[in-house]
Amino acid sequence: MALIEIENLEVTFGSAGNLVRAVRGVSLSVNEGESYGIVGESGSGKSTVLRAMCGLAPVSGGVIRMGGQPLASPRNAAFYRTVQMVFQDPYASLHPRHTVDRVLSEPLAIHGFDNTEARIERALNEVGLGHGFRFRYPHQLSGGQRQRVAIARALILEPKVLLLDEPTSALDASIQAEVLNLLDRIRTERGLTYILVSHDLAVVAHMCERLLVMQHGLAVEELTRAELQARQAAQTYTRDLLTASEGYRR
Amino acid sequence: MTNLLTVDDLRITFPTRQGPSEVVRGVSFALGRERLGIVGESGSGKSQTGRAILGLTPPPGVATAKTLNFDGMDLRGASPAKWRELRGIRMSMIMQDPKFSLNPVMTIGRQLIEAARRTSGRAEARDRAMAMLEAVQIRDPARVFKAYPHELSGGMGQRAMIAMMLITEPDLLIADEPTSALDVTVQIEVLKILDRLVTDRGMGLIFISHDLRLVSSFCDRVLVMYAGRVVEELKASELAHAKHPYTQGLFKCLPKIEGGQRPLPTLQRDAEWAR
Amino acid sequence: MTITRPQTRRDWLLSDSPTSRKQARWGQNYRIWLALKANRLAMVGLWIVVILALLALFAPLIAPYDPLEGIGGLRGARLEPPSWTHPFGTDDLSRDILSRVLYGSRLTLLVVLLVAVIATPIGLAVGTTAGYFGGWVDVVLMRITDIFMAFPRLILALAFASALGPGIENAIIAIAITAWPPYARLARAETLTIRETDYINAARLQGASSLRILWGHVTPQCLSSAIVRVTLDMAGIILIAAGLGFLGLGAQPPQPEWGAMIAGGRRFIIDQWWVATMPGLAIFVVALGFNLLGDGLRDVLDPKARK
Repeated sequence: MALIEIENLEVTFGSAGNLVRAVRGVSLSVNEGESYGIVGESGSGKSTVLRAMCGLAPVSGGVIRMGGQPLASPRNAAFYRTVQMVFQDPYASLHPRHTVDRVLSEPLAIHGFDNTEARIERALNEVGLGHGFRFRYPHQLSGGQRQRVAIARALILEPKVLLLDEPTSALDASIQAEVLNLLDRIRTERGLTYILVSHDLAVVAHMCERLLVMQHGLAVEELTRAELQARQAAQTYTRDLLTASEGYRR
Repeated sequence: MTNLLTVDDLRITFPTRQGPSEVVRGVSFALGRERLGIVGESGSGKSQTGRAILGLTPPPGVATAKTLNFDGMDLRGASPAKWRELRGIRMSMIMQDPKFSLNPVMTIGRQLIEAARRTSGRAEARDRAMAMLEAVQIRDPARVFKAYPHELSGGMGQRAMIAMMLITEPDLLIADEPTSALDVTVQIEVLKILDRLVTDRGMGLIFISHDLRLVSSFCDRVLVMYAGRVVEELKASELAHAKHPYTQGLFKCLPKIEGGQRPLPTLQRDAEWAR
Repeated sequence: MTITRPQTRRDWLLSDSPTSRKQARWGQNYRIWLALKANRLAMVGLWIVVILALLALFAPLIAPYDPLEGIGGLRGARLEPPSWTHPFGTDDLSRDILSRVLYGSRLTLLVVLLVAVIATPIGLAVGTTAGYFGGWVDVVLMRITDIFMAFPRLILALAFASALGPGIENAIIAIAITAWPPYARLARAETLTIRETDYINAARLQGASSLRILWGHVTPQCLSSAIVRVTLDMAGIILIAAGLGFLGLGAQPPQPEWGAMIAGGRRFIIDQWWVATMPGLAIFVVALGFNLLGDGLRDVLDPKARK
């Protein structure tokens, strides 16, 4: 059964006279334990779909269901314990004046979790940062380490679904590999469901079983990983993306 | 083939609280009328190398070199007047983000004409500006000519900036991540423009990027930088057969559409590389 | 490696991997201090402020004479020019001006501290609330702020002070009421950018309440620029307090308030210049000290000005 279903999602920004339709009637469904990718270029509305799920972008039409139930609006505490998000820019997603310790202990305090000490230590170990990182400030961390902290923050509430908004596009290639491996390992270990947004077809092909190609707020087509690897794209736009991702051809 | 640019033992030092820190440590290379790629991760010194060639090392940084020779001229200790004569006319630089390099309160046309007038007369400058906009594949040059930078999309803005940098027909172009802010489909278009300039006009191009795959498909030769040094220099076509473990690691850790190793091979850094 | 080096306090503070919350916080503060220490003008400002605080604290021990009682009655040492016995001279009631200036620093410091303590939290609360919630909350709060800002500060303070009645306490309240709107504006502008950042989005996604986000995430980010602004405003506050005192609405005679002392010396400004000049110099030095310190703090705390 599908864990997440999105039907005809519409997201519109701005006020009358100056409307931007960022997402125009996008539908998708993600099964439990699946890793689903959304690919597109800037302005395709791929990140907006994720933000709309979390209640960070205004939904002007359509339904988002989780486990068959339409999501409550505003989202409630139970939703945040089930769905967490990792943002694109690790330099912007950590509060510059909060230590790693504070970043990790705050969600525990909000949701009244017990055993705080052990949970924080375990979360840090899980993302490959030891105890030595616990009391650092973001400026004392590299980009990759920050993204690990952001992943630990998302995991500490033990969610079932992780929304990943370009989690590695701000990182160097070697760091990207480490973070992708980490995400991959955590998904297997915890049986998580991922929705990963990226502009990089290779990253999505590596991480996701199915993917949706988006352009200008519209869904272009849905492909399985096997179809992508065999380059069996029905739409011209997808084929253009595939060609472009191979680099320059003289 | 005579070298357009010769760099020998380039070093760039920044003072810090812990004493001077060398971010570029003895980089040497020669550039002909070709596409040379400089690849490296953040902090490898690749951008600083590009800036130093144009004498644009940001203070308090200091760049020194045994040789820094551009078309027979020694650039070491060149006077500000000399730099003005060279920069933007015989050598240009394209930055990652066009927003910071275009004047926001001047139309693209005026900025282009201003640049063109450094090498030609008033009447001719306007024609050349229009021709240049066409040359960088802008579909509606008349509209872009009258537009302000904020009215253009990212790809258009980047093309307008490339037009500005190229209108004086420089002999050397340094492009620092010129396409990283662009979508992949636009990226290829911009590369085509650069490619044609090298092939048709015989310009020398230094293409600085973190994107190994892009560089290997676009350039003729590649310098791989790590911790302020060139660890390997090789033909772009032979990147898959690189000898240095860093280059190999960098190449292998990229995910591939066709699928591949899982987990991805990660880069095991060796302290020896930074020696 | 087993080379153990005795860990100095500096190493402990500058450690890149602190082992406790306390160490992390102190380390952070120590870095700010190091940056401030490197700024020579800021240190001059800091010294002026520290000396002012010490003088105020130990005024009874330092001051050679009583600030309120004249020496030897009215016929005693009246309007004497600066000399070794009276370095700043005496005033028309035979009081030693140095002693009065020293005691006056207590009033000045009291005014400055209380105004900062009252006005900054009000301004921060109003500004962050308006900026974070937006909509009608923003409209209402910012229009109120605009009303306060529509009047020149001294005039508004005058109106409040005269409505509340003369006296140093009322002067403090009047100044505080007129001082908060700029902080509200500042905090609102900062909040507008902060509320769109991903770290605030992340906090929302953790189910943090608006109050928690405002207090724990937004306010700390606005605090440094507010501190800088307050320090730079201190000079203005001292001047307004002096202005109120000068106009007779602040501290009442015989209290040795600097502004009131200048007002008292106005009558003799041509022949006995020292009566008005000495408290004026004190205001000048202290205002300069706060300004220098504020400039230095801005360089250290405000990342936008640093770039």
